[in-house]
Amino acid sequence: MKFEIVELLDFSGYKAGIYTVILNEGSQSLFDNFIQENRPKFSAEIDDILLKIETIGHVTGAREHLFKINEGTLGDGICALYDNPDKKIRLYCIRYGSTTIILGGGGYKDVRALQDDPKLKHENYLLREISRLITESIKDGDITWASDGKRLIGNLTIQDDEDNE
Amino acid sequence: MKTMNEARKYTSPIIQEALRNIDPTRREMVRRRMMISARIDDALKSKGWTQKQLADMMEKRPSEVTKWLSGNHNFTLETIALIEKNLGITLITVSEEVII
Repeated sequence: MKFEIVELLDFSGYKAGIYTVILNEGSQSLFDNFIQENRPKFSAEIDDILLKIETIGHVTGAREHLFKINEGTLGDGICALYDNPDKKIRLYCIRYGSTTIILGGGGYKDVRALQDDPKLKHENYLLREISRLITESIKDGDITWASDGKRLIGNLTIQDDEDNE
Repeated sequence: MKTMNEARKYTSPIIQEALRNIDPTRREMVRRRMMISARIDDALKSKGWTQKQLADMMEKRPSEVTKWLSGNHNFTLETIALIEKNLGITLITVSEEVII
Protein backbone atom coordinates (compact mmCIF):
# COMPACT_ATOMS: atom_id res chain seq x y z
CA MET A 1 0.00 0.00 0.00
CA LYS A 2 1.16 3.50 -0.84
CA PHE A 3 -0.53 6.64 0.47
CA GLU A 4 -0.09 10.38 0.81
CA ILE A 5 -1.15 12.40 3.85
CA VAL A 6 -2.70 15.70 2.67
CA GLU A 7 -3.83 18.68 4.72
CA LEU A 8 -7.49 19.65 4.38
CA LEU A 9 -7.47 23.31 3.45
CA ASP A 10 -11.11 23.89 4.40
CA PHE A 11 -10.81 22.47 7.91
CA SER A 12 -7.27 22.88 9.23
CA GLY A 13 -6.96 25.88 11.49
CA TYR A 14 -5.33 27.61 14.40
CA LYS A 15 -6.45 24.94 16.88
CA ALA A 16 -5.76 21.70 14.99
CA GLY A 17 -4.22 20.34 11.81
CA ILE A 18 -6.78 18.31 9.88
CA TYR A 19 -5.56 15.74 7.37
CA THR A 20 -6.80 12.90 5.23
CA VAL A 21 -5.19 10.24 3.07
CA ILE A 22 -5.03 9.59 -0.68
CA LEU A 23 -4.37 5.94 -1.49
CA ASN A 24 -2.17 4.69 -4.31
CA GLU A 25 -1.88 8.03 -6.13
CA GLY A 26 -5.65 8.11 -6.63
CA SER A 27 -7.61 11.26 -7.39
CA GLN A 28 -9.88 11.21 -4.30
CA SER A 29 -9.15 11.08 -0.60
CA LEU A 30 -10.71 8.69 1.91
CA PHE A 31 -12.63 11.67 3.29
CA ASP A 32 -14.01 12.51 -0.20
CA ASN A 33 -15.19 8.92 -0.51
CA PHE A 34 -16.89 9.15 2.89
CA ILE A 35 -18.82 12.28 1.88
CA GLN A 36 -19.70 10.91 -1.53
CA GLU A 37 -20.95 7.61 -0.15
CA ASN A 38 -23.02 8.99 2.72
CA ARG A 39 -24.22 12.51 1.87
CA PRO A 40 -26.98 11.47 -0.57
CA LYS A 41 -28.74 9.49 2.17
CA PHE A 42 -27.60 11.25 5.36
CA SER A 43 -27.27 14.87 4.33
CA ALA A 44 -28.02 16.46 7.73
CA GLU A 45 -25.75 14.03 9.58
CA ILE A 46 -22.86 14.65 7.17
CA ASP A 47 -23.38 18.42 7.48
CA ASP A 48 -23.07 18.12 11.27
CA ILE A 49 -19.86 16.09 10.98
CA LEU A 50 -18.35 18.58 8.51
CA LEU A 51 -19.22 21.46 10.84
CA LYS A 52 -17.80 19.56 13.78
CA ILE A 53 -14.49 19.09 11.96
CA GLU A 54 -14.46 22.76 10.95
CA THR A 55 -15.00 23.79 14.59
CA ILE A 56 -12.30 21.39 15.80
CA GLY A 57 -9.82 22.96 13.37
CA HIS A 58 -10.63 26.57 14.17
CA VAL A 59 -12.16 26.77 17.65
CA THR A 60 -11.99 23.85 20.06
CA GLY A 61 -9.12 21.63 18.90
CA ALA A 62 -9.48 17.84 18.80
CA ARG A 63 -10.47 17.42 22.44
CA GLU A 64 -10.92 13.81 23.48
CA HIS A 65 -14.52 14.25 24.64
CA LEU A 66 -15.63 15.14 21.10
CA PHE A 67 -14.71 11.63 19.84
CA LYS A 68 -15.58 8.02 20.47
CA ILE A 69 -12.16 6.82 21.53
CA ASN A 70 -10.56 3.35 21.40
CA GLU A 71 -12.13 2.29 18.11
CA GLY A 72 -8.96 0.49 17.02
CA THR A 73 -6.27 -1.52 18.76
CA LEU A 74 -4.22 -0.46 21.75
CA GLY A 75 -2.33 2.77 21.18
CA ASP A 76 -3.16 3.25 17.49
CA GLY A 77 -5.18 6.41 18.12
CA ILE A 78 -8.18 5.25 16.08
CA CYS A 79 -11.35 6.97 17.17
CA ALA A 80 -14.61 8.03 15.58
CA LEU A 81 -16.45 11.25 14.98
CA TYR A 82 -20.20 10.85 15.02
CA ASP A 83 -23.16 13.07 14.33
CA ASN A 84 -25.30 12.21 17.33
CA PRO A 85 -25.38 9.22 19.67
CA ASP A 86 -28.91 8.40 18.48
CA LYS A 87 -27.96 8.58 14.85
CA LYS A 88 -25.32 6.26 13.58
CA ILE A 89 -22.87 7.78 11.14
CA ARG A 90 -19.25 7.05 12.02
CA LEU A 91 -16.20 8.74 10.55
CA TYR A 92 -13.04 6.94 11.63
CA CYS A 93 -9.94 9.00 12.25
CA ILE A 94 -6.50 8.87 13.84
CA ARG A 95 -6.18 11.36 16.67
CA TYR A 96 -2.81 12.66 17.89
CA GLY A 97 -3.63 14.56 21.07
CA SER A 98 -5.84 17.59 20.64
CA THR A 99 -3.78 19.11 17.83
CA THR A 100 -3.80 16.74 14.86
CA ILE A 101 -6.32 14.38 13.28
CA ILE A 102 -6.19 12.28 10.13
CA LEU A 103 -9.62 11.53 8.69
CA GLY A 104 -10.36 8.19 7.08
CA GLY A 105 -13.63 6.68 5.92
CA GLY A 106 -16.67 5.32 7.68
CA GLY A 107 -20.35 4.74 7.18
CA TYR A 108 -23.66 3.94 8.84
CA LYS A 109 -23.41 1.74 11.93
CA ASP A 110 -26.49 -0.31 12.73
CA VAL A 111 -24.62 -3.28 14.20
CA ARG A 112 -23.31 -3.75 17.73
CA ALA A 113 -19.68 -4.31 16.78
CA LEU A 114 -18.09 -2.67 13.75
CA GLN A 115 -16.67 -6.09 12.81
CA ASP A 116 -20.24 -7.19 12.05
CA ASP A 117 -20.46 -4.75 9.13
CA PRO A 118 -18.09 -5.48 6.22
CA LYS A 119 -17.93 -1.85 5.07
CA LEU A 120 -17.20 -0.42 8.53
CA LYS A 121 -14.73 -3.19 9.22
CA HIS A 122 -12.91 -2.45 5.96
CA GLU A 123 -12.71 1.31 6.67
CA ASN A 124 -11.64 0.80 10.28
CA TYR A 125 -9.00 -1.84 9.55
CA LEU A 126 -7.62 0.20 6.64
CA LEU A 127 -7.10 3.11 9.01
CA ARG A 128 -5.48 0.82 11.59
CA GLU A 129 -2.94 -0.20 8.93
CA ILE A 130 -2.39 3.43 7.94
CA SER A 131 -1.88 4.31 11.60
CA ARG A 132 0.65 1.52 11.99
CA LEU A 133 2.67 2.76 9.01
CA ILE A 134 2.53 6.38 10.21
CA THR A 135 3.73 5.31 13.66
CA GLU A 136 6.69 3.55 12.02
CA SER A 137 7.51 6.72 10.06
CA ILE A 138 7.32 8.79 13.25
CA LYS A 139 9.62 6.34 15.06
CA ASP A 140 12.08 6.44 12.12
CA GLY A 141 12.07 10.24 12.20
CA ASP A 142 10.56 10.48 8.70
CA ILE A 143 7.49 12.31 10.03
CA THR A 144 7.35 14.77 12.90
CA TRP A 145 5.47 17.87 14.00
CA ALA A 146 6.28 21.43 12.97
CA SER A 147 7.18 23.88 15.74
CA ASP A 148 3.49 24.87 16.17
CA GLY A 149 2.80 21.30 17.36
CA LYS A 150 -0.16 21.02 15.00
CA ARG A 151 1.18 20.51 11.49
CA LEU A 152 2.85 17.32 10.28
CA ILE A 153 6.10 17.64 8.36
CA GLY A 154 8.44 15.17 6.70
CA ASN A 155 8.03 12.49 4.08
CA LEU A 156 4.25 12.37 3.96
CA THR A 157 4.06 9.84 1.15
CA ILE A 158 4.40 6.42 2.69
CA GLN A 159 5.04 3.13 0.93
CA ASP A 160 4.62 -0.11 2.86
CA ASP A 161 8.03 -1.83 2.68
CA GLU A 162 6.33 -5.23 2.76
CA ASP A 163 4.93 -4.45 -0.73
CA ASN A 164 8.46 -4.67 -2.10
CA GLU A 165 9.42 -7.91 -0.39
CA MET B 1 19.60 15.00 6.31
CA LYS B 2 15.90 14.17 6.00
CA THR B 3 13.59 16.49 4.08
CA MET B 4 10.86 17.99 6.25
CA ASN B 5 8.17 19.18 3.85
CA GLU B 6 4.71 20.33 4.87
CA ALA B 7 1.77 18.30 3.63
CA ARG B 8 0.23 19.16 0.28
CA LYS B 9 -2.82 21.40 0.82
CA TYR B 10 -5.91 19.67 -0.46
CA THR B 11 -9.53 20.39 -1.25
CA SER B 12 -11.93 18.88 -3.77
CA PRO B 13 -15.18 19.62 -5.59
CA ILE B 14 -16.90 17.07 -3.30
CA ILE B 15 -15.85 18.90 -0.12
CA GLN B 16 -16.51 22.32 -1.62
CA GLU B 17 -20.02 21.39 -2.71
CA ALA B 18 -20.87 19.87 0.67
CA LEU B 19 -19.67 22.97 2.54
CA ARG B 20 -21.40 25.38 0.15
CA ASN B 21 -24.79 23.84 0.86
CA ILE B 22 -24.64 24.02 4.65
CA ASP B 23 -27.20 26.30 6.30
CA PRO B 24 -25.38 29.16 8.13
CA THR B 25 -27.77 28.79 11.10
CA ARG B 26 -26.76 25.14 11.44
CA ARG B 27 -23.10 26.16 11.32
CA GLU B 28 -23.64 28.59 14.20
CA MET B 29 -25.62 26.00 16.19
CA VAL B 30 -22.92 23.31 15.90
CA ARG B 31 -20.23 25.84 16.73
CA ARG B 32 -22.05 27.04 19.85
CA ARG B 33 -22.85 23.62 21.23
CA MET B 34 -19.22 22.55 20.74
CA MET B 35 -18.01 25.70 22.47
CA ILE B 36 -20.34 24.95 25.39
CA SER B 37 -19.00 21.40 25.64
CA ALA B 38 -15.40 22.70 25.53
CA ARG B 39 -16.20 25.19 28.30
CA ILE B 40 -17.68 22.44 30.48
CA ASP B 41 -14.55 20.35 29.82
CA ASP B 42 -12.30 23.28 30.78
CA ALA B 43 -14.27 23.83 34.00
CA LEU B 44 -14.02 20.14 34.94
CA LYS B 45 -10.27 20.18 34.32
CA SER B 46 -9.70 23.36 36.30
CA LYS B 47 -11.60 21.89 39.27
CA GLY B 48 -9.94 18.48 38.90
CA TRP B 49 -13.34 16.82 38.65
CA THR B 50 -14.22 13.75 36.60
CA GLN B 51 -17.34 13.54 34.46
CA LYS B 52 -18.68 11.00 36.96
CA GLN B 53 -18.25 13.42 39.86
CA LEU B 54 -20.29 16.04 38.00
CA ALA B 55 -22.92 13.43 37.14
CA ASP B 56 -23.17 12.35 40.79
CA MET B 57 -23.41 15.93 41.99
CA MET B 58 -26.21 16.65 39.54
CA GLU B 59 -27.89 13.28 40.13
CA LYS B 60 -27.51 12.38 36.46
CA ARG B 61 -26.20 9.27 34.76
CA PRO B 62 -22.53 9.55 33.62
CA SER B 63 -23.74 8.88 30.05
CA GLU B 64 -25.71 12.14 30.26
CA VAL B 65 -22.53 14.12 30.97
CA THR B 66 -20.75 12.25 28.15
CA LYS B 67 -23.57 13.39 25.85
CA TRP B 68 -23.16 17.04 26.97
CA LEU B 69 -19.45 16.84 26.24
CA SER B 70 -19.85 15.17 22.83
CA GLY B 71 -20.47 18.48 21.10
CA ASN B 72 -23.68 17.05 19.63
CA HIS B 73 -26.08 17.88 22.44
CA ASN B 74 -28.88 20.38 21.99
CA PHE B 75 -28.94 21.91 25.50
CA THR B 76 -32.12 23.15 27.14
CA LEU B 77 -31.89 26.34 29.18
CA GLU B 78 -32.74 24.27 32.26
CA THR B 79 -29.72 22.02 31.72
CA ILE B 80 -27.51 25.04 31.04
CA ALA B 81 -28.65 26.69 34.29
CA LEU B 82 -28.01 23.50 36.30
CA ILE B 83 -24.53 23.01 34.84
CA GLU B 84 -23.69 26.68 35.48
CA LYS B 85 -24.82 26.37 39.09
CA ASN B 86 -22.90 23.17 39.79
CA LEU B 87 -19.69 24.22 38.05
CA GLY B 88 -19.87 27.85 39.14
CA ILE B 89 -19.38 29.12 35.60
CA THR B 90 -21.34 31.07 33.00
CA LEU B 91 -22.06 29.26 29.77
CA ILE B 92 -24.40 31.75 28.11
CA THR B 93 -24.69 35.48 28.69
CA VAL B 94 -27.86 37.30 27.62
CA SER B 95 -27.87 41.07 27.40
CA GLU B 96 -30.32 42.74 29.76
CA GLU B 97 -30.67 45.62 27.36
CA VAL B 98 -34.28 45.97 26.17
CA ILE B 99 -34.73 46.00 22.41
CA ILE B 100 -37.36 48.58 21.41
